[in-house]
Amino acid sequence: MKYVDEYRAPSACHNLLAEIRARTSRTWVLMDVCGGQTHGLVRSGIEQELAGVIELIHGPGCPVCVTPAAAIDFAAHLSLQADTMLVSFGDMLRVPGYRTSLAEARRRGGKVRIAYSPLDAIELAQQHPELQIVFFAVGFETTVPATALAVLQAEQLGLHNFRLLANHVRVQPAMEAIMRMPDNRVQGFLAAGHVCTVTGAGLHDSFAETFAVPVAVTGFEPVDLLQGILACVRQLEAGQARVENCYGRSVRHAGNLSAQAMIDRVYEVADANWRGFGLIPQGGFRLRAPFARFDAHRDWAAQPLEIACDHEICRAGDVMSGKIKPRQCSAFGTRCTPQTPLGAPMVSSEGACAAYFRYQGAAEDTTVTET
Amino acid sequence: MFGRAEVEFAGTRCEVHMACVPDADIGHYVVVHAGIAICIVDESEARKTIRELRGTAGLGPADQTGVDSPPATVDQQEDAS
Repeated sequence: MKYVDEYRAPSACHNLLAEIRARTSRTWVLMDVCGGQTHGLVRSGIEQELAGVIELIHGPGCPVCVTPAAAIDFAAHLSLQADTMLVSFGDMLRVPGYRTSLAEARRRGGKVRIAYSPLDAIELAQQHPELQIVFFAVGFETTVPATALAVLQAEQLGLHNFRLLANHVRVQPAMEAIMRMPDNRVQGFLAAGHVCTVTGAGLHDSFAETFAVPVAVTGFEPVDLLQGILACVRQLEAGQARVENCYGRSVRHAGNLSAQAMIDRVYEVADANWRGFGLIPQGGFRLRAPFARFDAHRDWAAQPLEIACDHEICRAGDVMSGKIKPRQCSAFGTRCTPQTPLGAPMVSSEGACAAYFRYQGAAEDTTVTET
Repeated sequence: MFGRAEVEFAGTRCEVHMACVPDADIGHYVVVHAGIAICIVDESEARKTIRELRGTAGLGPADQTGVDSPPATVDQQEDAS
């Protein structure tokens, strides 16, 4: 495919790898904050190829993984109501809440429908006036314009049977939370290319300056990922810390103003519960007051604070904050597999644990040591 | 606001909401996420990067898949973040 295949060129990758190795004087620690990049790094072999040169750790970039477990339980509860259909992205179905999952609710007779887009839920609401259609809206800034558009369309159509269970999150507050952790080791970020497509690369300008950390806005193909890594290495070796846009074909400094306006019309920034992190100030969005009638949360009395995982041996929270890599969890590949997941990162197609299991297998990698 | 366009993704066509890319036109490449286009691909930036790769990072003739192929109609790329 045009503008995709070129960024998978093996010779370009080899030369970029050579340049990264040549410019690196010490093992820098870089974090990606996008599940698509996590999988790209592991699937392409870049993570293994740069072992000992660059330490690549993976942050909270999987939107399904950071969705509060209590929200999943509530979504499952809604699906079991006689007059309600819960509509969700497919990734969410097998993610365990505290008590249940959407897949389990469906087995018990709950009405759970998978959709590719929130706009599909609008069509379902039109087709099923006898049902309340609740869309389980998760995702970073990349996904927020789509759910905002769905709300605006529901308003225009005068739909009374469409609601959102909105759990959208903002990526930069989580990056700030990671930098403030006492045991933080991150020295540079590969910023999420499609989040920045919406928000603009400029989103991270003050962050890079405040925390004196390089931020390379990065795409998803192997060449994109290596260019992002190289940009971080160049800055770190030169003692610089600024935002560098390595995904110019998609990301502008100011971002997509139409998308930002749509978000701002429907949502306002709010504190948010993150699975694995707890409450992150200004870490998410909530529907603005004029759209409150579309908010499924209004039926939800109490939202408990998140804990990393309800299973005591699961270290999902440590994986998502980059403290450990998936293989360093004692349950990885033994008690915890994609077939028998203990935590969300092993379930989702964007989860870090799932990436390592899928592309590197369950066998122990003895080169990885906990730090 | 709720305009849609037919977008081709590796030979498959589907309808996509275009509210966030009001300047999109037939023949443009767009990035699509969750059913809506979130940007028009900047082809001059893409070509610039490809030229740089050829010049300094060794994108050889064997790796130039699709670079010179004629522009398709609006194309679609996806991720899930």
